[in-house]
Amino acid sequence: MYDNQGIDHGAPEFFQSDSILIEKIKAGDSYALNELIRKHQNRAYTYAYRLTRNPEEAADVVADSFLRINNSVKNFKGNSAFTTWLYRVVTNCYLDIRKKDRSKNTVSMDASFQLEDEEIAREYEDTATKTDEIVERHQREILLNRALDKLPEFQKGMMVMFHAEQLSYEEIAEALDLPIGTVKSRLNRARLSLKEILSQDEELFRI
Amino acid sequence: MSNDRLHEHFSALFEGTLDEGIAQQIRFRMESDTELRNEYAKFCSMMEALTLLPEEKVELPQFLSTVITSKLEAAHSNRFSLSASSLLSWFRPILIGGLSLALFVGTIATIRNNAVSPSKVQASMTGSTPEQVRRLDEITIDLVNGSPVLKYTSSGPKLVKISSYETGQLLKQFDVDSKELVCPLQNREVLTSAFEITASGESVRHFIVIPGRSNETELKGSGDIVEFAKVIASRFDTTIHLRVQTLSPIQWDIQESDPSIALAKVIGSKGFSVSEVTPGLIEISSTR
Repeated sequence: MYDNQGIDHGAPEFFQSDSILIEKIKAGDSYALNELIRKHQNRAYTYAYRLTRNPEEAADVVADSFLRINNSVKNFKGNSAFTTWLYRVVTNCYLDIRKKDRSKNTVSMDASFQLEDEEIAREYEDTATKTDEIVERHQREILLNRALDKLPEFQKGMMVMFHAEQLSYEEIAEALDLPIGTVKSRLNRARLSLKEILSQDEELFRI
Repeated sequence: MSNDRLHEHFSALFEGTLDEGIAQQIRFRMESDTELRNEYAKFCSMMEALTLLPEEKVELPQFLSTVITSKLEAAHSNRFSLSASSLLSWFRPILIGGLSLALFVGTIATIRNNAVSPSKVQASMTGSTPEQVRRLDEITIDLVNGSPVLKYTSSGPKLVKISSYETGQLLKQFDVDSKELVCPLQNREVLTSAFEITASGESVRHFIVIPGRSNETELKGSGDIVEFAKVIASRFDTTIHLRVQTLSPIQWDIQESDPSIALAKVIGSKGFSVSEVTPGLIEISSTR
């Protein structure tokens, strides 16, 4: 890979492991950070979007995360996978952003949740054709995500990590720097809370 | 066991990881407790519903790269007041990686063109060391109007890199193929900081230590030769050019009022030579 001065920076990004890229970043290779970002921005954005449900806010979270990673890469010891660290940083940036404008988001989320409920109810009244099943599935996803939005941010982060990003308990424990037992008990509590939220819409449990 | 306590085991029961004794106890309770049974049924439905989440397709928005770059640029701009917009343009391709800069490489980095002969190099010398013959492939530091300037004339294709000693971040790199590089160096930090300069083929490590706005420093301490040079640079407000083989550990307790004497006392017997190139610029070289 050559830069605009014709300097070779090594193999293309996907052939370089995270640990090699991180060592290069630590050594001052600016292009290595570019490669790391390109390699992981998809994962970071998907997770951030699942947390925020807002493309602009998710992009902000991702940008903040890579900025934070760049600033603290020297402290990354490599004891866990880079992706684990990435999840931790994205989670923290998401929590920080939410902390800043908590009141604004709460109002807008509640308003849209009610609107979505009405739309979902109309869909469920239709006959169960295959097309409708797809619609229902989509609406069910929306309903689930709206319910997740009602969880405290920290619980939501864990739920998204486990159920959407499919991280293991061990990986979540590493990412959040918590004992596995704590992760399991907190996730159970989060699931019970989500169950209560979803219980308000019995349709979810009829499918 | 209360129902609340039983709820604590729902996840493990669903995943089949619960201790069999407790699992049987819960199942037994469910047979007679309709409410608990319904609660667990809802829990299972929800767990099934949650399997939908990974299937959601999330598309990367086109503006993501712009947002990332803008944020990195903004952070960079906040930290450093860059006086030349051309520098930002130059930086843009590598900006994402070049943020934690403790030092600032001058905006007037110039590369003079081709096939510079030794005589021409001599003619181009300015500043405080007119008598010194500038040799090819040698990293030198001059003081120009009191500010350090890196000069390097290559005999062929060479890559010169300027990094922050404190962060390891690459600040700039130049491809100097038979050219003369002239690059002012400036420390805009409060504390004394150091650049590391490397050129391909160079076996000696070069560090340029430049005082910051504050001369606060610990006069007694230990560290490597660069750390020690930072203390001297800070204490005596002088720039130091280090040419060293290794960063060997050193201890110091500075009580002298003259930098050369202080340096000689601490490192004079440790394989280093010290010379004052010009007032405000000291050079320390490995002699081994």
